[in-house]
Amino acid sequence: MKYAFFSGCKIPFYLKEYELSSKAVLNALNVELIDIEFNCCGYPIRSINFESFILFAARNMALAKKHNVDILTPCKCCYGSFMHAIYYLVNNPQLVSEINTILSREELWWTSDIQVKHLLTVLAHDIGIEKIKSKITNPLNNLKIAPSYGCHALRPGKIVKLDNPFSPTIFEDLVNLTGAASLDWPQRLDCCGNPLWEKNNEISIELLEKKLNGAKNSGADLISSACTYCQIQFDKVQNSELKETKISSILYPQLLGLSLGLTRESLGKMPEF
Amino acid sequence: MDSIHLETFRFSLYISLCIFLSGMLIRILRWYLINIDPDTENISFFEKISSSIKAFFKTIFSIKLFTVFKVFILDIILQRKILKKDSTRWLMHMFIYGGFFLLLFMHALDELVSQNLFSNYSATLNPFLFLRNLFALMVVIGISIAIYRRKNNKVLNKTTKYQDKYALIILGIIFISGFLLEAQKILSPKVFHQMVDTYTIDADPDEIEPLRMYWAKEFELYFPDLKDITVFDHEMIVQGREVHENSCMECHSKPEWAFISYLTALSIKSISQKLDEYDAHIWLWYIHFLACFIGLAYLPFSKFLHIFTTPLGLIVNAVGFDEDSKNKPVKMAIEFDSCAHCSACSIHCSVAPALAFIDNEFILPSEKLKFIKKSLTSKDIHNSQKLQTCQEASYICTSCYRCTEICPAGINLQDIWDISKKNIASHGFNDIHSWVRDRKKTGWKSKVSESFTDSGQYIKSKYLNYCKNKDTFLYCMQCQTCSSVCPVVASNQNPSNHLNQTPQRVMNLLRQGLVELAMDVRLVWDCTTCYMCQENCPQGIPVTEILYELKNMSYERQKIRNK
Repeated sequence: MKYAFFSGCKIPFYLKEYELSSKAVLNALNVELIDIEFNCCGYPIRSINFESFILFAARNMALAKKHNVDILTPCKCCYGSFMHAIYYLVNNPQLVSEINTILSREELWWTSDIQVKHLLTVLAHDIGIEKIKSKITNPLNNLKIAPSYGCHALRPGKIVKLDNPFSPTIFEDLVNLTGAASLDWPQRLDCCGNPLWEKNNEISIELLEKKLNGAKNSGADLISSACTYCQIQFDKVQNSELKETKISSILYPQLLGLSLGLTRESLGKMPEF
Repeated sequence: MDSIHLETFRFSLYISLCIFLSGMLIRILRWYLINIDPDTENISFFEKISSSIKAFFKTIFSIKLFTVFKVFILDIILQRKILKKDSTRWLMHMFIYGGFFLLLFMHALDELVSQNLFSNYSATLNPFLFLRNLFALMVVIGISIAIYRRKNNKVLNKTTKYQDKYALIILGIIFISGFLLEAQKILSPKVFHQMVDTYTIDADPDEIEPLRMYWAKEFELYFPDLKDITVFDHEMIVQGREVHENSCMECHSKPEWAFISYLTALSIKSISQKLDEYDAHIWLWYIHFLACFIGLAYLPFSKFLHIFTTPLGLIVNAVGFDEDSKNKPVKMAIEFDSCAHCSACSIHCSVAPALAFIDNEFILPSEKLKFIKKSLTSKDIHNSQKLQTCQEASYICTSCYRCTEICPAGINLQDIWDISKKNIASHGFNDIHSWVRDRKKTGWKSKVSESFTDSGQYIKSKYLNYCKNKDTFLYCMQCQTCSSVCPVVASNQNPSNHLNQTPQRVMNLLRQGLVELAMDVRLVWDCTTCYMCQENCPQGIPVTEILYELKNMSYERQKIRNK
């Protein structure tokens, strides 16, 4: 199994631990990763200009195609953005032709066979729950986790195809295999508020507080996220904007890494527990 | 050489040095006068100067001196930052700057450097004769790679402007005139006779003719009366060689060693007689040194300033010059000057592909930096459209930090982007979210009339057609499911925040064709794109996609309104 690791714009400087832990875990599971100099996935520019958004996504996919690999991304906003772009491209040959004319100037070409996967889908489907379970050496018993799905990989279900958008189980399955107990909490599918961060902070922080309160009240020790922006919201925004830490958030690959017996240092900065 | 020419040379050198030094002084003063961060406006000129002096002494009398040496060797001489990212660019720059500096010290400053280091130094003697051409070849190869890259790389093509072209042109003039000059000097009878007059004062006049023959045969001199001779008289040549060995050999190696000039000489042989008649060896020399002096005088205002400022910027960052916060504005001012406009940042920019659809050159970091620098010193830029365009580009930037990591001059670009955003915002140029937040609502009635008088020219993607297509809303029955699942609607809001528009009301406005009014709705820009509305709509209406389309249209309309 070989993928191009798409870290997106925020991980390299703002959330290095996500790349560190994802690569550590995938390495331990014998997945080969290559690094390509990608451009932005297109999610932020979608609010401004539709064609740019499609071009950004298509160019990244064309770059991966040049190296004969599919894309694997740990960020759910990037993943969702790619899936939307694929949907528009697949249903619009005129758009494909306009985009490919531009890409061809760099000797790149987009085709519909290029796939984009999220860290969770690769773990659950491509590698398989049972296979990962067999490699667990340090089950995290007595740990209660409130998994937070994040919006952009979940909805609209028909386009992003992560799982059932109303009652998904993929994240809980993956948390459970580490030995930790995943809790069902009312806000698990709600928006973390990060898309409004630095645009309308009042609403952004309000949504964050609802999530954190919900997770805390459910009796969880930690929230777990599998999206760059959700983690930035739960970690950095909580620490800088709220008066006290309600509940900390751990990235899923960090959880998995610990249960696979990897060291804390190799998984990057994580909350104490 | 007539003394008038030497006087002119010296005079031009002094003038150009004066202009150069004044220019450098102006640039240095500017570092202490300009200010980009509104928060540091109150630091006085004298405070800045005294902090700089303090920092300077602190550096040279401390362990930081080793940092300076380390940076000097690794980042300034060897330029490892460039090598790390792009080996072709590194090679190109090594050739240009390495070749140029070697020429500067060995050739241009030969009276100061070479003559003192080497007792037998002569410009026409090996190894100096050969090395001069070799170093020049390095520069020529480097420049050729530079021109090739600027023509063939999509991004470099866009960023190459007057300053880059000037740099390549002035170097071109210096080197081409240099090769032509040396070629003509190889061929010229006038130069031969001048040299004979100067260096063989006590020689027998009868020895000059054999020497002339010898030089015509061995040293490629072009005498019109000898041009048809294929075989020289043996006796003359032997005698000529003797004279040569006594008077000339100490300073002259064979001209083939100046390989490029030699080849040039061969190719201009047919016109060299005419050139000699017009004293080409003199006016080519004038072109050559005047081009150098013009380059020197103009240096503080040209791309070549980076020869001084890029090393300074690297050192200043490495020793933590801005640990004392009073030095921060000066550090940033130095950073603006240490940009060599190499455009590495733009080539690797994560959002550069947007240029295919968005006509905003400030998306590219190198152009944005150039503009910000200009806007700090040029007062009439303050109210221009360009500030708004720059702010738009600042918000398209995703702050991915790649440009900052790549910059071979070590400029902290991300810092500059953050402060500049703040600075431009303080002049009233904001992003669309701020505009939406601050906009005063004039009441429903005037809003309706406002929207009907708007020209209704939507610049929008031809691929999105939800809003103006009535079929999109055919099945909407106003069940309000979308509003009831919307997290933004549910969040407690200050009632004066005009968030009184819900998804279902937006759909209602659109059903009635009131697209302009719908674009003004606060929810368009407060939507978190969580897709709950779209996922839950029982009629399958793509609510979030519609809101995205409204965002695109409202952004374009705002650009027109800002003009």
